[in-house]
Amino acid sequence: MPLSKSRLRLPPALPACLLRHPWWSLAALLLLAFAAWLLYLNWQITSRFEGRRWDLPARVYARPLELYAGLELTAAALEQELARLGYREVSGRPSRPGSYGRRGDALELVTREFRYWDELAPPAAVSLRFADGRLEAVDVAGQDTAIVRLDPLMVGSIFPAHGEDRLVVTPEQVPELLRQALVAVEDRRFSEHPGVDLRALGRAALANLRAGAVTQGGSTLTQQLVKNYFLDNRRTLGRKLTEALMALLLERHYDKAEILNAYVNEIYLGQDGQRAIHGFGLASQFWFSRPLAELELHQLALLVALVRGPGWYDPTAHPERARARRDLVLGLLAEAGHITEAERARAAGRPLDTWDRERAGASYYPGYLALVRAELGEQYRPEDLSRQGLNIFTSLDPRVQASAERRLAERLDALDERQPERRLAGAVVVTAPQSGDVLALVGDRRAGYEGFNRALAARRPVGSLIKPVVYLAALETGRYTLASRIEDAPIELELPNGTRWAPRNFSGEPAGPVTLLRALAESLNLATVGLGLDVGVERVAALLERIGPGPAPAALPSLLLGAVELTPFEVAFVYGTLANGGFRVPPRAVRSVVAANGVPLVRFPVELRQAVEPALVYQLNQALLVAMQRGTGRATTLPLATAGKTGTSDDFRDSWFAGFSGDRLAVVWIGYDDFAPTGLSGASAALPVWQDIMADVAERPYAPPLPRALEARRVDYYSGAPVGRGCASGLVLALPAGTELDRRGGCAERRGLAERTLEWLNDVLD
Amino acid sequence: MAERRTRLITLAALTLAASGCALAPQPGPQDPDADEIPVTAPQRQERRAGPATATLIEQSRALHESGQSAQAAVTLERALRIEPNDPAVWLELARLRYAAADWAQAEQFARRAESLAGGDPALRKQAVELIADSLVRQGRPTEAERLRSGG
Repeated sequence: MPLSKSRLRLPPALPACLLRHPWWSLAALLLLAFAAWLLYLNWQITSRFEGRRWDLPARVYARPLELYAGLELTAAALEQELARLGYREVSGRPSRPGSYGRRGDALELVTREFRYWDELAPPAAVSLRFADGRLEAVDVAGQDTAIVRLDPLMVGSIFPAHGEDRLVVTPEQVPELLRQALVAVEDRRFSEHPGVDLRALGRAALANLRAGAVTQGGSTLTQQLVKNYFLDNRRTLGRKLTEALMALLLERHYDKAEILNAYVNEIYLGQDGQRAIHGFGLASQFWFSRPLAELELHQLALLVALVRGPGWYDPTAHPERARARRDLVLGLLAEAGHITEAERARAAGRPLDTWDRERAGASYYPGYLALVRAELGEQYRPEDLSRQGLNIFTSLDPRVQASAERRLAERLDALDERQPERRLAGAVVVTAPQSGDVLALVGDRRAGYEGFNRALAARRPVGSLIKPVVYLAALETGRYTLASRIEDAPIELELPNGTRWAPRNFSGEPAGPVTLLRALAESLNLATVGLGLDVGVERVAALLERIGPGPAPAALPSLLLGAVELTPFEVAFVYGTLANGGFRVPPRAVRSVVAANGVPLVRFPVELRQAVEPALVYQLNQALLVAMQRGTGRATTLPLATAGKTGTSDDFRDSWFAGFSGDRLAVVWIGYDDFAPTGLSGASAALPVWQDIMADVAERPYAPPLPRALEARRVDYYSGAPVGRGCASGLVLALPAGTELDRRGGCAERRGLAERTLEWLNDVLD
Repeated sequence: MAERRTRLITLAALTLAASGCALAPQPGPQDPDADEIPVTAPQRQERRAGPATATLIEQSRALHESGQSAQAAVTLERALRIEPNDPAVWLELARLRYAAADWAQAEQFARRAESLAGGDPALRKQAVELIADSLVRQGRPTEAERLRSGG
């Protein structure tokens, strides 16, 4: 709060005595004003310092990586994860937390102490052995547990509007060498001066006079602290005077250790877009992805070098400058006798070693953080999030996120070549459907770009993605099975508003009589509309509400072909219920919240509700599986079984794909932000992205156990008639026990004798 | 692997052809169920009930017994994230909810366990029992009775 003397107005009626002695009176008044000002400064300092409260932004963490025997993980992938976490590679056996050593297929590491929601985990020495792309053995020293958590990556923070972000450290967490370096470099007579160092000021003034410009500052650490605390950067004489006075007052109230610790937490050390990096605790995380206590000498020296000008000495933008200043700091440390000459030389020989976000496979996660804020917004006020130092634990998986970001960007770059004057937009949501964990969320093709978050906010027509809901509603009536036959024939409707509606098939021609299985796998529009009208559009709308986030869409016939707008996140919700066999599990980012002092606050446990009979969803999913084998998703080459559906809206404005394996669900949307036609179908744009991501992240086939109410029958794909093994177009479907199959149509494609023989031999020899 | 099999088949076919054997299609001496795996399960679900999940379930039980039921739940959810299709983990979560008198969620978790039980009749039976118990606690004894007699 700037203060000026003009604020102290003279009372309107001046007493007569003042008029008689104008000079004395003026002096007395000035003195009074000065005293008042001093008192005000004193109050400001003590209240700020006593409270000793910084706004502590909430810290957001990714999921901790669980290490256990059998986990699909290569040594290289783990090393990448360790690089993200700033673990230091050592040549021998690692002994300190946050370090590791690797010899071929064996890797040893010491985890950091970490406060989880459920426990304070002490550092653990872990030995790992890898084989065939898996973790083969996990050994935790002194424990017989077969599983250990790696401390999670801090992925972001929720800082206040003024942009100050910091991570406060206690005096015990500050290395002694950092204090020594600050004194040696910034303020050699720190322990002696009363807050202002006149000798240093004089020296600096002389040097500046000689140079003809301001090249040196004579500010003490106390003055620098005051400046960071209360004042802006303008260099005026009045400001300097205020700063000096406040420094003197500060020193009168508090001892040197308290002042130095406040300095360590207050000082500005870097800029990251909107976010100002304050304090050595956060600077250490920001520049090295490590806790302050784990910094090596050359890294510590670089942080001290930054004090003088984080922008000027920015190690990324001006590496030579930063390095020269760092080496100067090292020299001063050696000169003061805090390190030996050999230590100095070794540290000066090291590179800058700053953490490269991109190289470490990390990102900025603005899309995911938006989801975190939205979820917490229901529980917390914005100022609680930006002030109370909450620790927020999420399900974000940096490996999955990296894959989703990269795969989307790669494919869009290639697709853009079709229409080079335009830029496609895209969004991806990846979940673990059983727990509802949102593992990755991409709202813009430019990773790390905070803009329009399409995954959460772009409501787009879903096209054929709606079809599984129509078929599920049909199965629910009990009047249909996947083997039932329906008519794929031209249809024309008069809508309530008087217009006529005549939907068409994607490929043009009506297919005639078809099974439900084929109609869904090949996404036949006419058959779907006929089926949906028979079942009732209201039923379909109500089912969509039941298995998704709601509310129910308007029950118009066009709903049957996907004239309903959903966000990719909402689609992930709906398809999650399918992946979970009818159990509705809302997708969520936040798992739990822990207070700044380590007290567990809230937890968001897994919740589920059976929304549809599991046996019905099992039957439906068979059609989505067949869609991947011979229907609209047949272009996939994934090595494991998946179920999924394409979606293409009118005039090719939206390209969708939603599908799942036994452990991962992904939804991909691609289109233009202005709703212009793209010329791309769900199969030609979204599906390849989906496949690329699933190839990276899916580990288990979609293969749920057969529900007891169903029995396996061999039926013809085209006619639904019961067929024998000699029928090439026959496949085994699980149908309600005792289903009466229509024998008309029989087998559409019989197998030749040779083929049958080979198959028989194959079975015999298998 | 596949290549070897193809070679084997060719060899066998040649041998059969050479011996002038009639190729009458007849059922092979094989697992009668092999034919009956529906399209949903082309790759048999191998349940990797690994030591990690077992350890976590054990830890969770110990935590629950010492009165730390929230910690027990967190530990089970760790297991769930490792083994999301293991009915034993879902059943354990259901028991925890039941113990916490959260009958509605106990029922749901037990139903989820039942839906994944597959070829494990013992586990299925336990899940059905728990669903029924949870229904009774929610004042729905008729449904519970129907379930028990049907299961």
